[in-house]
Amino acid sequence: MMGVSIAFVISMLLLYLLGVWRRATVSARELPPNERMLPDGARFALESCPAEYVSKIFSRDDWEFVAAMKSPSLERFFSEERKSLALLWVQQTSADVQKIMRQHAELSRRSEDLDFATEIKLFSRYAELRMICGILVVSIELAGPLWLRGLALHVSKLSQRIEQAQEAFHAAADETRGVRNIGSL
Amino acid sequence: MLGQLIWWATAALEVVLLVRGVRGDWALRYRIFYAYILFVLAQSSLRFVVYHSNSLLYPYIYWLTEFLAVLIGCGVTFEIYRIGLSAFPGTARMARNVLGIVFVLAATKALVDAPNYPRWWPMVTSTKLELALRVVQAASIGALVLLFLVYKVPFGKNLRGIVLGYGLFVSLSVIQFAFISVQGEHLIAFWSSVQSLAYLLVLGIWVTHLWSYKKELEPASSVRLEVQYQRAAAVTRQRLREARGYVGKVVGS
Repeated sequence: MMGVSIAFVISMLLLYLLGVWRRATVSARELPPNERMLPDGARFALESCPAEYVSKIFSRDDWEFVAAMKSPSLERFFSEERKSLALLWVQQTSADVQKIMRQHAELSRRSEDLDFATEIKLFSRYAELRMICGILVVSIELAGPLWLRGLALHVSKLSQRIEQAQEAFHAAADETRGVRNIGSL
Repeated sequence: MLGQLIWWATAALEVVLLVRGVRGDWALRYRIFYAYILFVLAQSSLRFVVYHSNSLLYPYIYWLTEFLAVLIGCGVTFEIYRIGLSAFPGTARMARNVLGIVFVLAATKALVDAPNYPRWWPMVTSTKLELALRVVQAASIGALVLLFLVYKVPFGKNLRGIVLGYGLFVSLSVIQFAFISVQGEHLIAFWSSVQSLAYLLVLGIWVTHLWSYKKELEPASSVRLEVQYQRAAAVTRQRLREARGYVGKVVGS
């Protein structure tokens, strides 16, 4: 019975993959080819939000300054603005990494020195990063001004979520650190 | 009546497919696929003759030709891999590894299950054996399609049709044999009709995609990856650092 269930799952997965692949090949024919863009290494240097800006977006200094003004409308406005900026940063990060992986896949398919283990690591990091970006989006949406005000109510739940995300990041970063060359991914 | 109509339609489409492929010379390029179509055509004719002349012999002929069809079908999967990835050595290497993993997993499962059934070979039914073979085939095609998707391997119309049609056929076969092995063989006539209809649909896909020869899309040259890996690694590390910094700030706040 177990074997039959696996058979069903595999056949359904195959049908799904064929459907997705068919749609992808049809849309690929409608888009202009970007092969000739690829050898240009500079394409990888995607413009990202500078580190000091990111640091500023999530800084508590500004929040403390606004809170000292004792203006609820200003606090609300500030919270919404910061939430929007934070979400924009996460989305930009996610889109950048997606773009990098797309370019990498288009290049690596033609490579003769592709390393299986590195590819698997790279794709697992990518999946991990996308997942964490998703968690961040949800966390920012949930927290916002309510999280800041009702810290006592939400801190436990939210910190648990973020702790999980952080652990995942640590795992990724630890592997990255100390490993030299390509395999470091 | 409907069964006969399907049978004749199937045979006619197979003949059309073969004639178009042979006359246009692309049958040589996709030789295993056309050999498979030729085999299926011969198989159904043989079964038809045996069924009407010696019905006792029919089950043996049925299962023998069925297993041969599965084996040649594995050749079709290999042909998809060989032609589709000939210009993509990187993806081809990934495919070899992934397919290796699929076969190792299948073999491991068979070895693990074997002690539970000491007399497994005589006990196993033809249906179950075919299901197992089709599942491995479905997993292999699924793995290949996943790689085509991830690496955005461009496909010509002909090979795309072969992949779509054969993938669809294999997945429907798995569903059919899975149902038969659960429900028993009393619904075999129903599933046989479903399979015939599905195969007719698949033949329709093949005929439309293989009506004329379309050159496969190929890239200009291969590239060395090391530099690209390092660039991708650097940018990914930067993103990880930024994201971790943000998480730290939120936790700290």
